[in-house]
Amino acid sequence: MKILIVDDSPLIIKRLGEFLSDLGHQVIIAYDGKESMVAYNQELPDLVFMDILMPGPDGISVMRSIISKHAKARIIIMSSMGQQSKVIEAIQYGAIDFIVKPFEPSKILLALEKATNTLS
Amino acid sequence: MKVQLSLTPQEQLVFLKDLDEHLLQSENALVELEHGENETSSIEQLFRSFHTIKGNSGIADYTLLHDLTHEIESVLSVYRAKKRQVSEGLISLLFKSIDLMRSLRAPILSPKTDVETEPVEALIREAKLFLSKPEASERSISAHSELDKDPHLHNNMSIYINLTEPMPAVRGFQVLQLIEKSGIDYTSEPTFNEIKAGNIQNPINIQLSPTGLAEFIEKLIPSLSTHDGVKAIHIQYPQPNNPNKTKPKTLSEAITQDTEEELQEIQINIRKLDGLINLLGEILIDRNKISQNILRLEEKYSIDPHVMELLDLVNHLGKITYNLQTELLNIRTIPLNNIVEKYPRLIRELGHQLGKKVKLEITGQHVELDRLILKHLNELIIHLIRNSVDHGIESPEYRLARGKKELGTIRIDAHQKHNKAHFVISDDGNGIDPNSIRESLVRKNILEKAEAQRTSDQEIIRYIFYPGFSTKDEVSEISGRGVGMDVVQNTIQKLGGQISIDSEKGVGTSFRITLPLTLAIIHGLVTQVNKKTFVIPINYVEEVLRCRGEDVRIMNKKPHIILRDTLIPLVNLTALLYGNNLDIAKSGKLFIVVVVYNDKPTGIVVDKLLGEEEIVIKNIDYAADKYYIIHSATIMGTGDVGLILDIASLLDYLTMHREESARILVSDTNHENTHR
Repeated sequence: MKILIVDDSPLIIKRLGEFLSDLGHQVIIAYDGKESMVAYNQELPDLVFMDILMPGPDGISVMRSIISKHAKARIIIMSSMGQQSKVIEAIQYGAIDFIVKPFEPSKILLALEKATNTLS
Repeated sequence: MKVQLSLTPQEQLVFLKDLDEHLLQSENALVELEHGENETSSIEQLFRSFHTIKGNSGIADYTLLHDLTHEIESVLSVYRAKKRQVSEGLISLLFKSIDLMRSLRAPILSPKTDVETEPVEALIREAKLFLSKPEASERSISAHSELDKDPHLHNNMSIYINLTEPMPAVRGFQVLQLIEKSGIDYTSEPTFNEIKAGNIQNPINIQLSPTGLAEFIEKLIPSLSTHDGVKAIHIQYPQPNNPNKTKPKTLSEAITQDTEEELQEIQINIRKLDGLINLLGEILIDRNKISQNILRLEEKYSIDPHVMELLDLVNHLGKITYNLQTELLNIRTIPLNNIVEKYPRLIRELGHQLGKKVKLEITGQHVELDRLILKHLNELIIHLIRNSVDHGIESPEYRLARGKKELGTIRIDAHQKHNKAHFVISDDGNGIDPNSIRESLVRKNILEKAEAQRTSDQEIIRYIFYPGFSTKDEVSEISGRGVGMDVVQNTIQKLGGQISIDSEKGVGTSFRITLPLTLAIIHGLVTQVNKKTFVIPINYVEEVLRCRGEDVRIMNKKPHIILRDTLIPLVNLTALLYGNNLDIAKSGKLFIVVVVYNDKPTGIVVDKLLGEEEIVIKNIDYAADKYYIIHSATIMGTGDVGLILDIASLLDYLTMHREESARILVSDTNHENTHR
């Protein structure tokens, strides 16, 4: 799969990116909302891991604008603990799933699986 | 007109099975509807059943059935939309169509029979007329969700969220969003908005309409059950109207579903199964023989290691065969539901004939019993129900005048405990008046007046089991079929069970029945009387005593012993069966088996105790009538025939014929001729 990771933390991007590459996925990265929208339009990835809280436009609004143009976009929201209401909002606006930082590999695998299932 | 045959025989069976199930469910829903209970869900059930039958018969090309169900479905849809109020007319129309549909069933099996189209056409016309003619009180469509109104309607479901995962509220929200998106009508606690605001409670309780439930199971369970945030989903079906599973929508789905189920469950011809059980019986007999031979060997070569090993082996073999027999006998069992689901309609018919209003409540339908026991139990329960409706439940006017509910209730409660099935069949009718029984007993010269007065109410009521006793002098159409309560009691005892009665005047009557879960093999105490082997079923045995002749006390010319301050009457089997009048008080050693029947202990004197054994019952029907204190026979480990004593009949016999000799009970001839 072609996967876009959007996060302002280089560490998250590195770790998640390496994990996904090791699984054989093609990884594209973006450090903020604006970058991610450009990247999405150019690359049309199969899946997006989107941080919920970023400088500039936050994850939810970026997600909404992507979905408004690409109805079939599949976005998994990444959040830290204590952002429950934000995550609910994200799910409500169309995120297919969420993962909570710090990640456990098994959770990422599960989310990937769910994404693959909705793909077909 | 001929019924077209376009289904394979296997498909036909599936079709018929489905048809029967739907007809039965419709019937039960209809009975509920008639009582004004669970109106919405009953209509819903009826609609669904008729809809499914219509679909199936359409595919199968059973035109008559299809056209009929189509018409009735249109009628039902009006009531489903609550545009009309349920009336007598509707109920009678529905009963008529169910009966007619049942009559259309036979031609499906033998397609060569000519089917009369006229009754179907007539009923279709009647249904059309019924719809066109406005009924007295019409109802406007309610704006409320149907869930708000009828609390009986709910199918409750609990969804347990995985709390060990982060953000459980989000998980809960995901679940509710799935339901929300599916468009299924539901209510939940906490509500969608509460969870959206982050308020989660575990579990989330969901309430659905029955159709909503079916839809839910079909659409959502697959994704929810694999959802990582969901720990468990618990579905509660409303009682007693429980849709066990989602009904397949089309015949092909039905067949697929059935085939899938077949992988888990196969049908076994009962004869094949009985063949297996008989073979196992032979193994058990051989095992017992081997075991006896080993014991003899052990006496000869007491410490020989080979003998010891043999002993271990035969013990192990015993355990395995015991497990095998339990498993096999369990295969013969079927749930009580198989018989009781037909009762609501029966009760309705009885009630109508007698002008009484009665409803039936059942619990414990899942209790499983041997199919033979169940068959007998069916007849017994029907008999008791008939009695209840006929003699127990009062007329509606009488009930109202007595401050009772107009609608009488008959209950069947079943549960399983200690390897036995327990049933309570009760009604809230007028109960039994002990004094009218006393009068009747005296009039029929069964009891002296003084004795009748002395006897307690409780014991007097037990006399309804006395052969030929009946309190109603006139024979009514319903329950007067020449079968008395004595036959009920006999049947139960033959099956190795017991029955007791409890009744309070004006309040109601209840029968308690205990039955073994399986037949075929019983645990017995093996004894010897006059060099013949007799088996006493262990479930009657309280304890075994060894005492001396001088311990015997003669009271009222009858031998007794005193056991822990209780006086226990003794039965001398040798004297009773063979007319051998040896005075047991003068013998040296005595073996006494204390049995308890009707809560009364009795000591049975035998010559020898041979031990306990698993006894495989062999049928001796031909002998059972002649010697009714013998339950059945078995082949012992020694190869001898053993006779299994029917303790209940024996003690009843003694109570009734205190003065007579019982020599006639067993003849000394052809024991050995019993078939193996």
